[in-house]
Amino acid sequence: MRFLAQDQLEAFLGHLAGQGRVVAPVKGADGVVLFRPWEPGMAVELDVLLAKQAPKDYVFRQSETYLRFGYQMEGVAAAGAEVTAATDRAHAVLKVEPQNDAPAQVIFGLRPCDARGFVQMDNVFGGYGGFYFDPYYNAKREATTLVAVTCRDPRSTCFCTAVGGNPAGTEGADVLMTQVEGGLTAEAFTEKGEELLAFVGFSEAGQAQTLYAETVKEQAVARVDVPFEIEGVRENLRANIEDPGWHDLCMRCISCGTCTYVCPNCYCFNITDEIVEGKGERMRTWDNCFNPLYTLETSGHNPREQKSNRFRNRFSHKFWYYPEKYDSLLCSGCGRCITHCPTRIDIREVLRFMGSPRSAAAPAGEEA
Amino acid sequence: MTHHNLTTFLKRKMPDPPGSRIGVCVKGCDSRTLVALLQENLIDKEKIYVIGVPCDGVVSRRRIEKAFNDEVVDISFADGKVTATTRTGESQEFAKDDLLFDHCKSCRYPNPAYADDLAADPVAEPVDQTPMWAGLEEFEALSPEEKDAKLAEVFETCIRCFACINVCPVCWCWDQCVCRSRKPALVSQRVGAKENLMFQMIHMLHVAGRCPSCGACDRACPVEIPLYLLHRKMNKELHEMLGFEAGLSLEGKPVFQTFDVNDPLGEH
Repeated sequence: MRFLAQDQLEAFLGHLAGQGRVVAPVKGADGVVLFRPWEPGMAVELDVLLAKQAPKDYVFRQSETYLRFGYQMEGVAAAGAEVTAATDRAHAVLKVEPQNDAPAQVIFGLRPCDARGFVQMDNVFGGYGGFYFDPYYNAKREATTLVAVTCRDPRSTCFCTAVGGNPAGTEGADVLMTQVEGGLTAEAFTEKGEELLAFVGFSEAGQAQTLYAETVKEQAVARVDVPFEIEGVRENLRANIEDPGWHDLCMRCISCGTCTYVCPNCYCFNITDEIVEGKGERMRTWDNCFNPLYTLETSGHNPREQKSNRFRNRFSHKFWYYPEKYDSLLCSGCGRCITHCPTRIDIREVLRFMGSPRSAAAPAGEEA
Repeated sequence: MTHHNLTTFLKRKMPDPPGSRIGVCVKGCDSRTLVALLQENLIDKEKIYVIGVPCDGVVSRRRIEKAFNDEVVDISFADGKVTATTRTGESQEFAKDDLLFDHCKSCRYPNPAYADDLAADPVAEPVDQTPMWAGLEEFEALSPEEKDAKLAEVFETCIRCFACINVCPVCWCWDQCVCRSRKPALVSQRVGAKENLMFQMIHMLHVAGRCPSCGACDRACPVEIPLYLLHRKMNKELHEMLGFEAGLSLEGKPVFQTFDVNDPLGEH
């Protein structure tokens, strides 16, 4: 285990910034903590447990240009020049320029649940032997090094241990740092991580520091609530698909996308061509299953017309269909969807309710 | 006092067995959004039962949470004081007035503008009825360039989750929102300060003359964008130009649905 003194942190980040972009949780003037590109002089906020939004955006961009296209005239004679057979063939040629910008970056100060979110998205975007390989996601994923920091003080809304995670989890992290007295301990788990720890500011952690870090980790695990039993949730969600309880649970949902956009692993997207004056871009943007247009088909039919259908999808996707396909959950238990939901819909409550056996009853009532 | 403006839930068709009415509790500001909707015949008055709740101001949960690094797990009220306690037992007492939302501090309509029944006796309305536009002074003092920069800074963090518009009671298009539509693609789906501001401007213009500054959008925003900068500014302009305030009485009409030759705007 390595050790970095607190006063060396800025130098370490500066060292990383010299090699590429550094993204870290930073507190804005309004007190809001978000992952932002770090610049020398910025204070990294590690005492606030979770940034408002997971750092997903830096790998899976909220809006990303796939390609630019437009027509370009070719074969046009220069002004005043005599038109010859060769130049009399002016025609428009479609030019397409693929885009895939993937700068080297280090995401510093994300939590183990955020790092695990990337692993869960990897299954979908196919980076690790998957069926469908997404070049945009994977280029950024490859260029990114994740430096996670142990959750010293989990919140009451954290439930990572219930979904197989750990507040000191290493899944997906290249380096795990732990705040101890006087600085941070660090452990690397990948080659990329080893390279970072080669920075001169690191020293070998003393016995006391190692012990401290291990204690922090153990205590953190003990502080995370286990609000539901994951065993059987998948089967019960399947069995309860027509349960009228969905209708009651979704009553206060306002169909916004907050939960999915702050989530470390919600990955749904849409593709749009935006064309202005003959030039355009094909763009991928985040989409979410609460959006009524999400499942709207060309024919005009919408298989998830009711709010309860859309609401049900988010939980079923995370705990039923995704697990069936990839043998892993699509939730790392960060609890952001609970704290940021404008109407305080609680995923734990939904899973306790719909993830347990319920008697089949009459179909849900009408709602638009 | 409840954080939410519950009238937003009347936007959706609720399960309503024939002849039943939906009960809704409203504070002063909530009732004004309800009245704005009733003025436009968007809600059937016969289908709702309105319980008015005279309001002494809503406390900002976020303002409390920001006073601590640890998580606030308990908030209690007593005699104009608010006590917040964290998970580790750290406790701090605040004066309630310090925690109120800015628009609550300068609220001139704490009692419901329309209600079938009142849950409590009306509270005293402020003697001074001069409109106050809390929070705007600082913004208005900026030069146009500085305003641009401020808006760009603020809207850069927008995540386009649409919580602000979906929680807005008078934002009525719901599933047919122009900002979400991809065919026709009228609003760019790109996420950036400029595009996000554009989306907010559309929202603002659609609710102009209908928004009573209830602050629901502000409270819903997960990244805490001060949306009041736009909405309150719009309301201020409407008040100063046309002497109009949204949702004050059932007899009133939305400002953009009226035509008056004596319109004060003519003097401008």
